[in-house]
Amino acid sequence: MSGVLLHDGRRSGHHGWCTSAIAEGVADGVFLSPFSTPRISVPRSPSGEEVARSVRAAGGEVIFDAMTHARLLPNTNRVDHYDTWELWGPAGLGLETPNQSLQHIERIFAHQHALGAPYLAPTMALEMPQSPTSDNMIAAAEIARGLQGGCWQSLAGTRAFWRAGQRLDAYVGRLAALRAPAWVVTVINEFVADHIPALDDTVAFAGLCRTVHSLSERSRVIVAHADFAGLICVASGADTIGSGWDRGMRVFDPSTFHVSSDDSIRIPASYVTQGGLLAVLRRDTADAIERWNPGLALAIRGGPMPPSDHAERTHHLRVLREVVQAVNVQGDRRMRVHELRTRYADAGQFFDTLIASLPRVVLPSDKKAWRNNQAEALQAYAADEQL
Amino acid sequence: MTPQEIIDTAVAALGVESVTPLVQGGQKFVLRATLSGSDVVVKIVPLPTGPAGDIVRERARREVELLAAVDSDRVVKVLSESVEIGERPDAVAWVEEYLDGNDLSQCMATPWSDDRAFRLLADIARGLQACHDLDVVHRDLSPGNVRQLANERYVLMDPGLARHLAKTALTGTYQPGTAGFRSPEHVPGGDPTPASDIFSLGILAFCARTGRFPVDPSGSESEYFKRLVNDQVPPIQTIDPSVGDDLASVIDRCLRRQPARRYLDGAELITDLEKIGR
Repeated sequence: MSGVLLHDGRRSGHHGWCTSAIAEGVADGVFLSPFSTPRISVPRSPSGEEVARSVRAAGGEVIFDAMTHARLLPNTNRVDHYDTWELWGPAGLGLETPNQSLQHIERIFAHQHALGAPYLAPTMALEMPQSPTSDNMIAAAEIARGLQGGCWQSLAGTRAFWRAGQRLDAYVGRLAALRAPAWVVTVINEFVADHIPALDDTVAFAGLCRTVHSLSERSRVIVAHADFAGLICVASGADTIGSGWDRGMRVFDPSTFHVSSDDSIRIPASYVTQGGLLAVLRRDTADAIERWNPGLALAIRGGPMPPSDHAERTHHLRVLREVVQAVNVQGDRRMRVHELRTRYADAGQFFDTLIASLPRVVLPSDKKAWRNNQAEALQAYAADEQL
Repeated sequence: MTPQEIIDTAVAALGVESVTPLVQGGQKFVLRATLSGSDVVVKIVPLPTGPAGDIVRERARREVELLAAVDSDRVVKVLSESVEIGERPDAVAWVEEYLDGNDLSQCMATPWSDDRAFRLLADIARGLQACHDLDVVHRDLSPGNVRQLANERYVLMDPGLARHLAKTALTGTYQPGTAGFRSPEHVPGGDPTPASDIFSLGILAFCARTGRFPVDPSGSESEYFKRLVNDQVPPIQTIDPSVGDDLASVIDRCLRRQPARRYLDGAELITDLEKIGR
């Protein structure tokens, strides 16, 4: 099942919104996370089993991602729901030893089996392709494969990891030899300031695309916590993007897993998705575009102005899913890249028009963050591949 | 011990007869002999003194152990245990089956036909599959390590630098492989995998079919390594348009710079060859 998967969240109503989105055909399933959904239901938080059942009843795919790469980050301490899953054995946290890995993976697989979810093996956040940590990840993956031959595999790396050039390629060769039927790939952000995607590291994101391309030659690839930033991965071979409505769903945000003094959920409530720009702009910006040229505003948004948060959630997912599917139906990788290039070219023209007509409302920095950085990463990947 | 004393002691220890030298010099003596009436080859590896001798001895022991474990008619068969010669010891020796024909290095003077290149690919892929199934990487697939038999079938030899993926490398920082036949993972800092053997097999087939190296090994080693790591080998049909589409597709895929995009091991290559009736 390709398209858009919704990441887990802790907002009241989250699971109901998920099943509605699936029922409305704007999302294709959910990632359940032990950080957001408890194993045993508590007030206002249904259990993983209940959520899986309702998502499946709505026709959605359920993936239980143990998020080990988040749990092992140094600052992670939001473990109230997480600990109810009892994912670690007596050997303790970590995937440094075969015992730790075996105990952890056995527990994850047992929960996935109970939830009727695919077996998805965990990973750590990788910073270098050639390091003890990356070797441990492969060792853990081999243990997982020994337990369940057809298990899916997680892969999570920082920008430094994706930037590692030939060393990354060599490591991906070792990963491909695991022959996982599906990969869930995540870009680890060390820090997330706001909802605007940070794809200015062209080399790293071209490396990500190259990796997705390589893995997708044999396997399904899902790009987790990606939203619009994941479209370049769909062009290079992924078939599904992880997204949602809150910042912690659209990007991998370490603060999601950390209890801090500023503990509010990052809600992008005052934003409106602009499908023609492949961007999410502030609602006052959307209003200004609407006042300036209602006809063009409609075309740029890709639908009527969403009058409520619920409508914006649906609008965003519908626009995102439409682009994912439009790329996915292309026959080969060259056509996939061409499809997205065309959309970035159109977005560039829309941005130029808006920047010229509403210079204090739509800024060149918006165009760079939402369109140029992505287009440059796509171009760097495509040039390397002669696509 | 003198070389002759080593040979005499090895011949006696291994119980072979009718001994004649095949190759002498370099790192080993290779003798033709008979064992219980059958033609065999005796290999004797002199051991240097000091720690280097321990490494050579372990490598030879591993070669014999590996050959004994591999069950394929596309990999040379070992017929004895490795025997240590002398007190120190001064050498190790063992017996292998005798293979007629020639090393590939003596058979590549003129470009091959597509059919012959396919036979090389299919036979050596089967030999590699037997190694890769045991999690063993050959790491030095080159013309000197492939035998063309009189019936134009091919057999893999000399996995003396092979490495069990689950065991620590013996070679430290030494990079295995033969210039011209290395993969991008053979470059210092890299770690050859089964897909690296596939790359080297692709080079063998490319060279056999076109008479040219796909990655030019001339110039300094650092320049060669840079080309290996950075350059994608051009499609073989751009070098010789007469190469058939099927063969070109297989060789080009063997020679993808990124290991994940090659055949990952001998088994995957065989599956593809069988799909196209090879």
